[in-house]
Amino acid sequence: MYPNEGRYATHELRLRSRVMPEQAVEREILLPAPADEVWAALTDDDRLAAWFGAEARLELRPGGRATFHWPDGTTRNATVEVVEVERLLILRWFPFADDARGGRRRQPATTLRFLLQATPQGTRLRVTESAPTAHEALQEDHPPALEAGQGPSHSSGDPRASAAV
Amino acid sequence: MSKHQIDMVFSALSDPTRREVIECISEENGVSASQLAARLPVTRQAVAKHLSALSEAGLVSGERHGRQKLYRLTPGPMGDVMGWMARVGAEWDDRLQALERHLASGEDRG
Repeated sequence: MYPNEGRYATHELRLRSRVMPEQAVEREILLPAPADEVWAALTDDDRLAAWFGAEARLELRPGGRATFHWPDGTTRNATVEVVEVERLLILRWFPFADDARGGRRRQPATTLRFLLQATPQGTRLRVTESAPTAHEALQEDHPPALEAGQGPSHSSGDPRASAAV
Repeated sequence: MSKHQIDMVFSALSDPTRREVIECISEENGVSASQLAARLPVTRQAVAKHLSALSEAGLVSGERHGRQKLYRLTPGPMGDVMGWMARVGAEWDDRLQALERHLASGEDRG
């Protein structure tokens, strides 16, 4: 579809293995809008909510918090890792999701990467959601992202309490 | 469907040596820790540790044959990972379509 693309990113993610499943999902789309417009759609809370499928609140700086509330009551947090305006946004999901009743379930702490590339036809957006690397998985054993006193068994009456910073 | 284990499976698969252990096991119909250690550039103790992590994630199972314990691949968790990938992929297909529509409907574009 995009003959010049897919050469590196797809291959670096693909394991040589026959038995091992791939550990990243990657999608690419050519959007009929300039990069600043696409960037706004990715980073402006109201605009993000219009297509992401969840209400969003994004602190757009490295180390910032991103919070997503789904219509079914699920809340997930992520850490903003990289912000390169109109080019690259990387988030890393917390290793759990909270449901409307205050329950918490484990989720893979995947990394979500949005890469924008301006082209004459519009903006090429590549989205990659990848499983934790060995280094990140190690950190997960001692999750620094979890606030003190909020272990996986913690449940408060207000499921959004942990999201409110 | 043991969806709750996906993070454990990813964790287990995140280590390159463990991935090699899986490759080796997949090529044999039952292989012992000593046989794996002979084929991989790691000690038998290291292999044992990796096998234990892989067993915990449900990726391999060991069965005793006489004095040896032979390990085999357990297909379930790999299938779960592939199912998870397919779900996440479908989510992104939907979201990117919605993003495209959102951008197409924007009136403030110049």
